Amino acid sequence: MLTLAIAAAACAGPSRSDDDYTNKAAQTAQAMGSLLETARLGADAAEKDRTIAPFTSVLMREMEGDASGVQSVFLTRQPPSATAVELRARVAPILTDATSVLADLRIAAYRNDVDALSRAAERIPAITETLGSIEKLTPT
Amino acid sequence: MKRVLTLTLGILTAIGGFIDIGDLVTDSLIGARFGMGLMWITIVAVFGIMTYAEMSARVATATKLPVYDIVRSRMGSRLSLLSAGGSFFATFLALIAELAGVALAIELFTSVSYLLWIPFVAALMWFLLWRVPFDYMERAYGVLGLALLAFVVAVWQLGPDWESLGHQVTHPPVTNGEGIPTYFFYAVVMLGAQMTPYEVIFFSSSAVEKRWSRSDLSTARLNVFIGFPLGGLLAIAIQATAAIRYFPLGIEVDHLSQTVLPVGFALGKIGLAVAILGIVAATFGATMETLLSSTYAVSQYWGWTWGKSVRRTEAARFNVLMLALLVVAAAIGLTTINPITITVYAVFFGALVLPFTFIPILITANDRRLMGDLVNGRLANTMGTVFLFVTLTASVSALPLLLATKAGL
Repeated sequence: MLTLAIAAAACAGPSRSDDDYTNKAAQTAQAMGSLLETARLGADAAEKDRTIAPFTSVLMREMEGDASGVQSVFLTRQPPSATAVELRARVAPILTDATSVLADLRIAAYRNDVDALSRAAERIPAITETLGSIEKLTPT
Repeated sequence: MKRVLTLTLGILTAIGGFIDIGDLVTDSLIGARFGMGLMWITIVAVFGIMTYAEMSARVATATKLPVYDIVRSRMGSRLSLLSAGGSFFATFLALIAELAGVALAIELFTSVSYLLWIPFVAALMWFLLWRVPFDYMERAYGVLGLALLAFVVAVWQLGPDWESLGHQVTHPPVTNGEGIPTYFFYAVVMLGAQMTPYEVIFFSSSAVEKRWSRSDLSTARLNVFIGFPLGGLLAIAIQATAAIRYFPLGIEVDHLSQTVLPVGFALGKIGLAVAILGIVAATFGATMETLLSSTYAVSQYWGWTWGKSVRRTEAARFNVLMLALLVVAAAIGLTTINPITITVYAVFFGALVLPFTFIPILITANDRRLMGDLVNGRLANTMGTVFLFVTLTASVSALPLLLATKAGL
């Protein structure tokens, strides 16, 4: 148990180099992309009347909760250099956009407003495309 | 008819043991991450658990002794304390996870936080264990758990590219950004999710409690040879639904809701509701199994009178301990600790201690003095040794793999 805690702490620790920070940015983008894709699938299923309203509401709530965690972990990480600060400035707005879309999806799902769900879900592909470009970043 | 009804013990053990919250999450997580690349682990686990469940049924029939009586007499009090203690801890962690798992599944139906459901589920569990005969309970969960077959139907309805799925089975997609150690870390996690100590403890203790005789052995074997493969089929179907919907999109699975979403896509609202009902039944059955098994482990080790069918005044310590474990599990579940994280710990720890449950069963099943003509034959010994080696390898490599991969990251 202790080992697991140590391993978890090591993963969430501070970045000591640009390479590490870039890797963390890529992992953050990947995790956020996964949450957005899940939410998009959930919205798609709701639009096609293939899920029940409470289920969609729980799914969106979980995706938004996880996204806030992913965003918070990345943004509270100290950038080790000026280059890393630039990368942070590039990633931060995308993460904000992602959490904002997920919040809109959660609100729409809670109100069982399928039209609002569809409208919010339409914003996802553009965000995931940008996240994809960050995901492909490799340490120099 | 009686035989058909008795078969439900096997179905319950398989569905509640093989398809519990650990397996539901792990199967979906691994299907999303490795496609069908770890399906072979499920096949290994099915044969492994069948081997040891059948062996433990023979041991229970021949000796009339449950697992931890045998462990204590075979391994001595100190070593057996390690075995019983390890199994108890892994099973108790699983109990917390299962209890939260039932609540999480109900949350999917109601959108009401799982935290509010935990006390209700715990109280219902206690009431049912106190008031309802064991046979009725196992039949109800066994039959309701069959609703999980919705996952099997969903695989067909999703219209997968069978060739691609088959390719993932024969050529595990380890290279898609994953390292070999990560692949094997998840192999160990999946083995731990599908071969749990409590499956054997529950099966063998139930056999002793129901006073199985030689004439019941054929039914026991049918239970084993139908129930566990059914559990394996369901596990593979869950992996496949995630492999079809999530793997191509690079989606990571962290929630029970993600496990069932593909069923909604395939079968619509009714199918989704049926699958969630199956999850409620399976996790409820697993909660009962883990609660009883953790209480069995302690009671059998200390030589207390134990059993659900024994008069409560005669098995007072057993009943008090069961209530205490249920209350503590519910209290831990209410701390808002992530139930999925507990599940992963339970599965990981289960893989570590599994050989300590298997070794004494294998040794006892080879004792002709105790077993008579029910002693292990060549096939049982070969399979028992092979699967013991597999679980020992998983147990020994679990910690290094966890450290090397930073818990599979």
